[in-house]
Amino acid sequence: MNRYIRIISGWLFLLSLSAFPLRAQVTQYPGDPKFAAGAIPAHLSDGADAVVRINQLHFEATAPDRGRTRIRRVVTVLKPEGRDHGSLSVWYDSFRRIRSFNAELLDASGNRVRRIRNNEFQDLSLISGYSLYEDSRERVLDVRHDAYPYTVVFEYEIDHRGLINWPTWYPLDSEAPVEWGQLVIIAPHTLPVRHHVRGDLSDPDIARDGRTMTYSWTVNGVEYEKPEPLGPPMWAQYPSISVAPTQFEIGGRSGRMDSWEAFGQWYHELSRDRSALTPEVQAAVAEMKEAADSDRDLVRAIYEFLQRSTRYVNVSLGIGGWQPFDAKYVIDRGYGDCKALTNYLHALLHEAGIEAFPALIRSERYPGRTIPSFPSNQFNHVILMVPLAATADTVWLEATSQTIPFGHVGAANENRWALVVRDGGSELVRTPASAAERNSQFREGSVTVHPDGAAEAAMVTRYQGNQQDRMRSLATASATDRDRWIHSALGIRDYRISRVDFDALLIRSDEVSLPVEVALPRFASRMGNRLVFEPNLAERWRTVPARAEHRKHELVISSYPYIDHDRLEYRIPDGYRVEALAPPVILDADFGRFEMTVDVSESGLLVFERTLEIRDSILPASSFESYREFAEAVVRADAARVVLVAE
Amino acid sequence: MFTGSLSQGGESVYMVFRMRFLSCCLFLVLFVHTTTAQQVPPRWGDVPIEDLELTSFPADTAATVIILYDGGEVYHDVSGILTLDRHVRVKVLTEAGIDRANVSLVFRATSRHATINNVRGVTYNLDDGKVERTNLERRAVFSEDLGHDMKSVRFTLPQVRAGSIYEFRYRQRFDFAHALPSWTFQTDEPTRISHFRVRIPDVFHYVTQTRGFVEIGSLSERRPGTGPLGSHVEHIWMLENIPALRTEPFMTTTSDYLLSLRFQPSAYRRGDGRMQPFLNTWEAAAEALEKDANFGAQLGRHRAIRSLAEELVAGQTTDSERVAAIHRHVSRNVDWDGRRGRIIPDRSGPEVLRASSGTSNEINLLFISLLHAAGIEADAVLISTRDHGAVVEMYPMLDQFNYVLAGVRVDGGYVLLDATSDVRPMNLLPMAALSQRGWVVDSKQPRWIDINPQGKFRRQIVVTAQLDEDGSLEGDAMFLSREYAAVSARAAIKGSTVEEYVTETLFKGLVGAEHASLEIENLDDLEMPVAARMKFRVPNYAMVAGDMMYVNLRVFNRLETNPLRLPERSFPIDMGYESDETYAMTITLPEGYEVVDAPASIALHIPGQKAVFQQEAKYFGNTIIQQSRFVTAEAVLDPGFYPYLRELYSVMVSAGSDQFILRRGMVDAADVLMDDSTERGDGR
Repeated sequence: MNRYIRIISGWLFLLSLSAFPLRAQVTQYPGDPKFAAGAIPAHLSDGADAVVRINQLHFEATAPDRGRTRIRRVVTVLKPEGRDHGSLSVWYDSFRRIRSFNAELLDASGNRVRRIRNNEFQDLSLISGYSLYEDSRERVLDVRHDAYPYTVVFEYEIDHRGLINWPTWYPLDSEAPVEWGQLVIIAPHTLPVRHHVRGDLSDPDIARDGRTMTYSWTVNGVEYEKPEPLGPPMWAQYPSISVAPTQFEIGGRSGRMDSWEAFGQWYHELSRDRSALTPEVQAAVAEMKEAADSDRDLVRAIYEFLQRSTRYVNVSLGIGGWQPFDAKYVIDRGYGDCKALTNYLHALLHEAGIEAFPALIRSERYPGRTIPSFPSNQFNHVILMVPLAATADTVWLEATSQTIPFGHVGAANENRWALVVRDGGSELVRTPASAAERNSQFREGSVTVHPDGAAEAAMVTRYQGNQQDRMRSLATASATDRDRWIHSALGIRDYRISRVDFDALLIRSDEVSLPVEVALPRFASRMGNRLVFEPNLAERWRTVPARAEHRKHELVISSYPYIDHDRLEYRIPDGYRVEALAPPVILDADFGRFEMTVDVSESGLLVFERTLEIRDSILPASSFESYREFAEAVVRADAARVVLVAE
Repeated sequence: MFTGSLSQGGESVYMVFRMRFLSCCLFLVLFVHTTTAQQVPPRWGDVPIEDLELTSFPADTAATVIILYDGGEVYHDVSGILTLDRHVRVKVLTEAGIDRANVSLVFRATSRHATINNVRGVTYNLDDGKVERTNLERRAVFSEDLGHDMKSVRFTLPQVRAGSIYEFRYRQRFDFAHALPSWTFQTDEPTRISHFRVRIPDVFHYVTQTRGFVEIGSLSERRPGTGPLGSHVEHIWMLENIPALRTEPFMTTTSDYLLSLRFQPSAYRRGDGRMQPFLNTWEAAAEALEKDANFGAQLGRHRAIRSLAEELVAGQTTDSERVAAIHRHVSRNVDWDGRRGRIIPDRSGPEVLRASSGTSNEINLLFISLLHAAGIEADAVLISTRDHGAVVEMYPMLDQFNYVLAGVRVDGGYVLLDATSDVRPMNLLPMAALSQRGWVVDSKQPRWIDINPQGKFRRQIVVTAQLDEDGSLEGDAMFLSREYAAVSARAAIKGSTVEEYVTETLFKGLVGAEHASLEIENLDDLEMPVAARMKFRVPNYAMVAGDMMYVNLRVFNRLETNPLRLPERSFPIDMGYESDETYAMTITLPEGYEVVDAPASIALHIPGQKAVFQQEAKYFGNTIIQQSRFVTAEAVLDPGFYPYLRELYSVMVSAGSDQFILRRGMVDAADVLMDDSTERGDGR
């Protein structure tokens, strides 16, 4: 599902930053100009492996498609554990060229040991795992020294030829404290600058001269704090400043982003007139239209046609990172990236007379990245919105998966802002959120326990909503991946699989079910005339987060709300009775509930039932302790035992 | 993982498909020189309709594709350039096989003569009984520079769906005329026909090595002929119905076991017609190495190396102290970059020293050169790591090796040392380096020596604890890790914090466990065992039900699951090292409780005592003592031991949840009942 278009630029990854020849009004690094290690303030160097002396990003735009980024980064490595801080990578592609890249190594007192030579740089390809081809590469430098402490000074410049993303700057961008950091943005008056600050950072100093405006932010003495476990992604845990233009141009295609409407219009212009179909495909659409009883049926038929006849392959070259390939490209090859496949689906629906709109989206686990008040390129993916006028409902379609059911977009696309691209009327719209009961997993099974402790279990598990996505990927997984899944997902300690029907997962419906039969040769421990076992066979929590004194960030406890229900019936050996059972556990919290019972039924079966519902997958920081206690109680309950004794 | 593997000059040229580890399913029908229904080689574009109609492959139900044909033809072209023409045809059985159509051909290119071009591809689909062809577009073939002299050519076949057949071909040219590529017949998917033809000119002589479970060398057909380099003999190998080979847990690599052919150049014909050996003796090989500026012996002459060595050994009085001081410096100050690199490194010792990081081979050669400079007798010892394949000692071919160790004479003995890690004592070799034999690079006396592992995974856990009436457990625990266990403990602590090490490793699986007065000894002294001592408390540890209490004495380091999951095994089981783990627990029961039932004692071993597990308990009064031990006598076991070992693990997993059944004595039952009710009222 992570099929990204390259709308994210490396700014969001490359957390490095800032300025060289500074204009008079911008403050300078106040520390020791020689970077002697001894000059680092003690509150920063105490306990640190390395200290970032300077983290400076200087960006100057000269035209909508022209600009230069200058980075100055100075790092003092205090001990061997901090050596990785002496490395830096700079990515480039056809829109950003490395103009210069220099580095030097200084000793503890700031005397130059050597300049870094050209042959110490590595030049690597950056083709990502999901791509066939991309034109991005990186230059990597790793500077080390054997006498501590030492300091590495990096300076590089990037020339931009085509600009869509202006910098995002993180004052604290690595696992080291920062002595001094600065972001400087300079742009001509004709290119108004917009910015968005996340976290605790002051307003910029603004200066103007006859031609340009200069914005600068400066930080001093930022201590490093570890990211909080179970927290939001790293970028959300540290302050940042994002900057965006009003006008931009990339690959010769200019646009505005001072409103969502304007930015959507740019994508609309970029992707228009790319929908011509071949007569064969037109005929296929006509046939589907003929056969469909309703618009919804027709959309479904076309969606499934797309799934059958295409697959996801990313090729990203130049403007191809933004502009979709036309429909013919997909028809000829049977593949495309998210833009091309969505464009093709759009074209098919258009042919069938169904209105639809591409929706730019940030596809990732965490739903909260897009800042609605800051129109800019914040997306990495595109899906399709289909408003069905007749029934007044809206269908969202993910074009890059060959297996997901119609109308399902998955956890990475739901519950977040999407920019719906509509000629003259693009706007931010929220994709639907799924409730816990939509993402369910219901398991029913029976287990027969023998006097020697061996057992056999037969279970059927039904999955819905987002819970079925991970199961669908198993349908096409290799035998080893499936085995690995059973091993980890069922959490059974020692088993032999007797039967499992993965083909059952291939069905394209809103629910899939997986029957599994396993032999458990040493299920119960036998002690004299007793048998002891853990009745929770398949669904188990194992870890409890460590206590935290002052939780700052929200908790991300799962990717989506969900509910799990397990019901297992145990047939116990003749002549045995239950000697001890775990008491029932019922937990009710604001965010969810848990219930576990083990009981002997009237028919003499031992019935284990467990329900875990997580209603809210993201909780405020103040809920940390109650979540921790909840998790501890669940882990304890999940390990509950049953003791049988022979009569 | 690969569908084919070619290599030249020791570096792999392989087709990388998406990583996929598949379970193994062995079936093999090997026919040689039999008539088959298929034409060999198949004509480009001539795809039988039966193959398109194929929907499953009963012989291997886990297969996602069938490699219908994999053909290679190696020859010297008119200008004498070594050339490979490759033709691959694949049937896609399931959707899971589609990603294999994303092809990346990675190859080594030390000059611009090394190329892959003329890539052609076609996909065939059956559409209403009609065969529909779709060509791979030329502009959809991409080249990529990977750095380190490696390049790749990437493309994906169009219109690939479950049921499709696609084929592609290309021409590859190599840098060196004599370095024949190797050929791999087997992949992680079944192959119907693998067909390899190579024209070997008489001017070159080769030694042919084969890998895999059948002797392929004997399957060759030979045809004499003439070509650009004069007369040649064409060798043809053809294998049919080759089963998939998929990785299994505890298996270092499949490449050792894949059916393959390698060609080692042994000699060439000189202008005067006499055959000149490339390296005909181990003596010559050693001499060539010693003369190389970036290899071992020469390095000690650099001024930077000499002065550093002097500085490091200053004040050290014995050779063993000097070796230790040099090792400490190298392992702590030169980081291993995660690569092995070539045996003859690209960089000199001083360059590696300056960069403070290097490949394992660069680091160990630097270590050797510092030893030389300090006047200590040391040799480079070459080995082939366990994932690199066995060395054939009769062939003096250096590319059989991929790893350099230091052979050091100290205190009258000869030891093998490694300096790539600052958490591993120098005489404990990295797991991969624990191969059978190493070759000592000494031109006066090149020789083979056995590599005897100097350590095991030794761990000892000793626990003394008091069980409380509410089921809580409180006591003292000591974790003593020696040798490889100490290496892993140090690495775990180094990778996180002591606190995380305790909660995530030592307390793994325990809910609400707390510790106090934690002491960890010898974290920095690599020669000493790592000892962790602490007081601990686990609330609600035992299950309490009325008068009964159920307690598991295996508090720490319980084996949660059986790592050997597959029912069968066809390849050696590689556990890395031998193990010796003991666990001893003494527990005092709460006042008035007695043992009603106890787990049976276990004493189990697999044939030949290669692995042993014992567990037994004694109880008297209010004390229980449980002891268990797991010992393996060999790091690598033949697949024949697999069912026994799997069963042994199964018993260990089960023993880890054994319970002692306790009951409150009858003596003060009345008091207890009262206490019990109030306690439970409070506790809930």
